[in-house]
Amino acid sequence: MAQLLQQIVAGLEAGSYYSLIGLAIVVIMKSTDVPNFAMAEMGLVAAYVAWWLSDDAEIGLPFWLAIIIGLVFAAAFGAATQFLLVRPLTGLSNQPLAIFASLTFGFVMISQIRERGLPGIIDWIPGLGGGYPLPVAILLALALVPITYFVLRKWVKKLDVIDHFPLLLLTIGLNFALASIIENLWSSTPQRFESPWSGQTFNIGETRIGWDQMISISVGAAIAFLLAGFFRSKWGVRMRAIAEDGSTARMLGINAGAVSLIAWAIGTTVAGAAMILNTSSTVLELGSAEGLILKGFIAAVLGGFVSLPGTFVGGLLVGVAEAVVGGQISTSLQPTMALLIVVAVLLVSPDGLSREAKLREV
Amino acid sequence: MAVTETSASGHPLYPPKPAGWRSHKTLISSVAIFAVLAILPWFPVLAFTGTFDTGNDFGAGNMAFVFAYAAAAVGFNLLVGYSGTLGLAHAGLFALGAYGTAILSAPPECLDFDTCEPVVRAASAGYGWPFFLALPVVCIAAAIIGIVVGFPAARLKGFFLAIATLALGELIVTIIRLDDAVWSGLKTNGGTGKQVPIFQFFGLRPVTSAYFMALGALVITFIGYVILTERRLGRTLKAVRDTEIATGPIGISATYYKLVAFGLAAFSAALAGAAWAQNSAFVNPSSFRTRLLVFLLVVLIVGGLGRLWGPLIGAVFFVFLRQELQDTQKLLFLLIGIALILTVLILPDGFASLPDRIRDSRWAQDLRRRFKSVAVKP
Amino acid sequence: MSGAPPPLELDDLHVAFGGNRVLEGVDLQFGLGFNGLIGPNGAGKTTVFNVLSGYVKPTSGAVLKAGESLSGLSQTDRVKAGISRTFQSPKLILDATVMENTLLGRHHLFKWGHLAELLLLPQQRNEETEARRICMEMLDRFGLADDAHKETGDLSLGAQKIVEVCRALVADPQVVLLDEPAAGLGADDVTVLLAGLRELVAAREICVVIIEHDLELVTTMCPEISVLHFGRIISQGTPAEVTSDPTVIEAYLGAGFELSDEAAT
Repeated sequence: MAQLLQQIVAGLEAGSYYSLIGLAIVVIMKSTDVPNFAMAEMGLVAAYVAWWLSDDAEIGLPFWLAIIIGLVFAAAFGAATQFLLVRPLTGLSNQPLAIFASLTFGFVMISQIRERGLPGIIDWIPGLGGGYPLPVAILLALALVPITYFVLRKWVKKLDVIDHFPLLLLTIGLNFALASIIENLWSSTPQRFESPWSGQTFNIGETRIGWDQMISISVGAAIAFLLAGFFRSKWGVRMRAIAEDGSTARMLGINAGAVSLIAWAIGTTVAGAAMILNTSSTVLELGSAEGLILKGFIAAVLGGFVSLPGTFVGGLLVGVAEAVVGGQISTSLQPTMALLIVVAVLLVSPDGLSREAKLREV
Repeated sequence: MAVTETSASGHPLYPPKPAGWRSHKTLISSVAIFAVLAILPWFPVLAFTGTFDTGNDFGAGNMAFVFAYAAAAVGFNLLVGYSGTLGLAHAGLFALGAYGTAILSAPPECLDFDTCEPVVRAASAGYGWPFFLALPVVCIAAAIIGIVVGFPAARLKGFFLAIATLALGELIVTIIRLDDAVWSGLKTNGGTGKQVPIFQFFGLRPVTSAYFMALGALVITFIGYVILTERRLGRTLKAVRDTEIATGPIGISATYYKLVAFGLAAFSAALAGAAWAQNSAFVNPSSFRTRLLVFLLVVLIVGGLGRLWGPLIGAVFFVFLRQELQDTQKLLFLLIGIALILTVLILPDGFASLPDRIRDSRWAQDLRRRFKSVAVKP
Repeated sequence: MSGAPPPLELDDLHVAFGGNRVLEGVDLQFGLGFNGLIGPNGAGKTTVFNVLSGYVKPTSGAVLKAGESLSGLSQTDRVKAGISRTFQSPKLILDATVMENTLLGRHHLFKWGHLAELLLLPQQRNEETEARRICMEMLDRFGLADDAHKETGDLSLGAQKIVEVCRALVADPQVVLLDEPAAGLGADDVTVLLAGLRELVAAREICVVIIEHDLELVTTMCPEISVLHFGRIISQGTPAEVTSDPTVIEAYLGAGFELSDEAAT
């Protein structure tokens, strides 16, 4: 019995992470209609930033300050991603992207010249030989900046049909790129991210429960609650309007740009919170996001991609099922639970656990 | 009884083809390309790239991987590009082909304790079928499983279908991995992996044999793809993709055709998986997880969705990148990620569309006009 | 009047979506030749078509084609039963040719399947050629023969709508449902469309039902018109009868409408 309770608590904890990532996905989906495969990874970046700022790592700020700055960073990061990557595809200007990409490219090229030396710059591009003198190498790097700029300006066009699929691919690419960037900026060895309550436990009867578990579960629930309330508010309604019919919403005076930025900021902050909780409870490592993103999508799917409560419940359900089945029957069955649940639910109810009606389109 | 191909009013019933050899452009170019690929092991013209120097085993093995991934991508193309169905169980079906042929064609368990160590036994035991019997059986079985996986397509749309099929694909791989831990009898040897008995074509060396096996898989899927998409099945699938809501009243069952696409895609995935296994000589569940699916997506998208040569181009790109960045794994993912992002932003139809894109661009049109006016001047 | 059952009949049809009652007690009979279905937007006209083509299940009432009930038939069965339709906005494959889109209409009549296609059997090729011949004749009837091998997306919206009409007609239907076929068409296109339809109706025994807002078109083409308003039939009869009906004038026409000389009677 005690064991079962322990498993349930562990399941609720894991489920909270799934739910939070799922909620982040749904927030962004509901307001800007983008399936963000990079959600967990973006949250992980924020977690790494928070860790790096904290007293476990270099900067040494107090825990709470590090967390807050990390979350603020997450918000800014989310908004920036939407601004730079998503907007050009939805018909708004590709200038920010062109400027940002070409400057980053130039910066990276020049830093590579410095780091690896002269022939190194060309050597680094796979397939080409080396041995170019420094002036040529630098000229090449500098020439590529405006070329990149103009290529992007000219060729990045609004998508004909703003389909989920290309946007999904975009975020998959982002996911990979971010994973790589994290590995480059910080090491690939797992880190400890200590919170004030790490390792402390309390007992209910014979069951030992960690404070980090309780905190994850309660924070998760709190965030879900806040989000639900937010979406009922003025801003939330605006967000849903934009997703439903962007052009009409704009005509009604809703500033689609601002709303989208806010939506991404909120979503990424939620993901950041999820990853911070996760990594401070377990361990901070590169692979943390990879396992979570699929489960986050499963939670979102269980909520029909529209229902916040459905996503929340779905995520918890998956977490608990995994833990209980894994503990009571066999640990090998653990990875299958999420998969079986989502398949079973979708077969029974193709729109997930939500109850929102769908109208015909003929 | 000859049937004329012009209507009573004198209009051609089939799209008019340009005169002479151009009308068979696709056929000629395909035959030429595959012929070149077939003689590569003996004429390593791509030696300068290093990665694809077919003069040695390393290069030949890489090319074989290219063919295997391309073959899998062709089937994927049919499902995702042509019928517009997000069926993401491909990695699982690929695994079925790899494991299926490996298990069925491996020699039966060696019971003589003197000559066979237990670990070796488990890793290489099978049912002893001849390879060319195992291959079609596995592919057809995979097609059936692919159709079963596709059943949710009747009720699920878009993203939901994607997640459901992704889950089912993962489930297949998980079942493979759980063998020995939870049940036995499948002989997959669970998470430890299995050795793949290499079938040697015409007594060729293993690597060369694997090369041709993979090339063969690609040619078969390619031919099937070309025949089916240029004709009725192709336009029916496009109808399912673009006008699904109108297919009912026309008499086209969208569900039926989605299942057909699932079956065909699964068949090609299994065929490609079998070829891949021959080349890699060892199979392990972790090589078939969602990461493989994303790689296949990259191959398909960067190459060009819905395009004939997309899969091959994408596969070349991917394998090349993977080899070049062997030591810096970090960069691999960065570049793949950036490639994907750039593809979506700049070349949504992949590299295969680059010739068309350039031809149709303003700049090229200006050039053509300038040439014409130059030619006209006396 | 013969004792044969009408080609298409709706009997006390009720359709409701949740609490929203879209059609109430609709009794309609459509005869051979042209029938008009008019009414303000939201009256439920497209819903009638959706019931007929199998998208919507009526909550009660019967739908009969030549006296036989259509209830329980799936969408794909209905085309075999001889019902074809077009949509308000054309549902076509934009990157396929006009001929290919039209050929889709023959789909349910093909006997040789895809396996034969894969094996490159000549019978399948012959069947395909015959189907193309039939489609080309239909396209010719509507002046699109020259565009047969052009990409459908390159055609004007009006031409695309006519392609959709062709697709519906090559299926050899006995009942054709046209949802606002003339909307968005230029005057020339409309003339070609109507002429082609008239020829067809004269040559075969089909029942054509047209939903339209262009009253001049409807009154000129259709000897029999039904008026739908808020889900109920408020008038039925010849153009003259319907346009002089005070309920119709109040609900839809407005006082100023005058029947033209060519109006069908």
